[in-house]
Amino acid sequence: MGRATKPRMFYIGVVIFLFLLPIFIHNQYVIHLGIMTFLFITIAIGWNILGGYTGQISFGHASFFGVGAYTTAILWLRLGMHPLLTIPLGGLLAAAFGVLWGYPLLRLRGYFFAIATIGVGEATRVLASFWESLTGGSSGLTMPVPKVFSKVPFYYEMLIIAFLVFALSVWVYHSKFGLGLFAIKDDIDASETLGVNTPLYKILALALSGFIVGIGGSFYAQYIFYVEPGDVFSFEKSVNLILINIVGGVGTIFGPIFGSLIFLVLQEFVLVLFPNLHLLVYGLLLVLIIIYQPNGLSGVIAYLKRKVTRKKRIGGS
Amino acid sequence: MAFLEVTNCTKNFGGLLAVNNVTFSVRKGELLCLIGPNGAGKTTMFNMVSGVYKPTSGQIVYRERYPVHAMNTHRICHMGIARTYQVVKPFLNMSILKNVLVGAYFGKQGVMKREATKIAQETLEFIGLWGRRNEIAGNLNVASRKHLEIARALATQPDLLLLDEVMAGLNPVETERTMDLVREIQNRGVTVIMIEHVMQVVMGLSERIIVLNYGEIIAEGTPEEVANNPEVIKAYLGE
Repeated sequence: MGRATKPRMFYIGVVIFLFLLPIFIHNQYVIHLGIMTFLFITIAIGWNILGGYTGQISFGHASFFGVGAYTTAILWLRLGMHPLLTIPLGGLLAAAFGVLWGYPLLRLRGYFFAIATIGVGEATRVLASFWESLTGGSSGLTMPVPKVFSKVPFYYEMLIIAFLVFALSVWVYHSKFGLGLFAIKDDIDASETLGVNTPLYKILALALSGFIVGIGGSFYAQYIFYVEPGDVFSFEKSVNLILINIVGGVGTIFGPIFGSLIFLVLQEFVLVLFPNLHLLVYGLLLVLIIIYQPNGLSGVIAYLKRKVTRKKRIGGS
Repeated sequence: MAFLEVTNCTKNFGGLLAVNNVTFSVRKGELLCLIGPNGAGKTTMFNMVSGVYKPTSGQIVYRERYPVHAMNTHRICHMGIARTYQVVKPFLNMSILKNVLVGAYFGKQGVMKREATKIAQETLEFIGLWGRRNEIAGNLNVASRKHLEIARALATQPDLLLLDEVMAGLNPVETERTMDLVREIQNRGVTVIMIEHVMQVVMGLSERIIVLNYGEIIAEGTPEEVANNPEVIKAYLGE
């Protein structure tokens, strides 16, 4: 077997395993964990396109999540649309919302942009809380829960979304578009001088990022059957997206996946055993990663891979 | 017919006149040197021609059609004007190849993968960095970073190349080699304007020299004319 086909077989194996999982495991809790993992992977990838690829750190990505969630809730409740059909609309509306605030704010650089996005996130949350006629205010909106329902369709729905979003992020990573984004991250002035239309590229990255997170929010609303500003627009959600990416590896392809896995494992297991300790563990992990491995778990794995291949080469010769 | 026409250009930084009412033109295919003491306004002039700064007043017209003074930097690049920075700005986390690919992909509009890869390879072979294409730019020394800076600008396929002190910090051997590169670039039909302090380079390369001092042109001419100009000697050595 060639060297290149080995990892490909591994990935195909993982995907097949994930598709077959609900057939063998009927535990609803495990299925729920799977759904949440795919959801977090999806929205973390969304954040990574803007924060990791383009280097524009956003603390306001919960606003996209909330816009997506509310789009689904409102279209479903008020217009009776089928929730599945609202998913692309949730994404598009989130993207449009991103263009709206990104156009003025993306002129800001570095920390100034990051701080401004905190304002965007909070302002959106407050707006959703007080615009009662549209959003139902801070008590939120409840969607009709069917009498009998299984989590399995949601599992497949989210798995397919996560898979498509991941494929999209891999394509962007290797594309001309992605090269322009990484150039902007490294040096925006040099990019502009070399012909990159930096204002356009930044806004496209923000729109794509918002679209992906909006899709995640839209799915979340129809899975939980309830949206509330304090939940979908929460600052904590924005920060979690950043933490996941830092732990997994900002600007790497697999970073959001590794980060989401660690995040959910810590949250679900450590939280149950020792309430609040998961934050301590998470904080410790974060400090260690920032000091020793700025590329997060992706960096650690790349390092181990190099060591193993070097050992093999030495052993072989 | 002037290739680049700078007319009454002024740049004012809140009361500091960096460039004051400068007028000059560049002929197609020539190699022009901009010299002058520190703070004379040479780099400011480059920043205006490449669109990084907008002139406070005055006009810069490229190929008698394009109003460079009113265009965005990336548009100016697409029109065929490329520049290097005095303090080089490599994409530190990218390989040499990817650095050059950015120029190849974005320098002209509509360049696709196959063509960009071809341009990047040709440019790196020309500069002599092809063998090291997979090294990360952040690990390069000064000389290589300067060469990468030139390679990246060349990959945008410019007709006018602005070189901002590309010889500074190089040893004599590297300087010789870089001079050969510049000559070869000019032979390929690229018009070159360079800012330079190393006199050996200025005298050895340029066909025409413009001397700036306190934001104004104090002399213009062949290397011999400029070297014997009393104003220039005064500006460099004092009274």
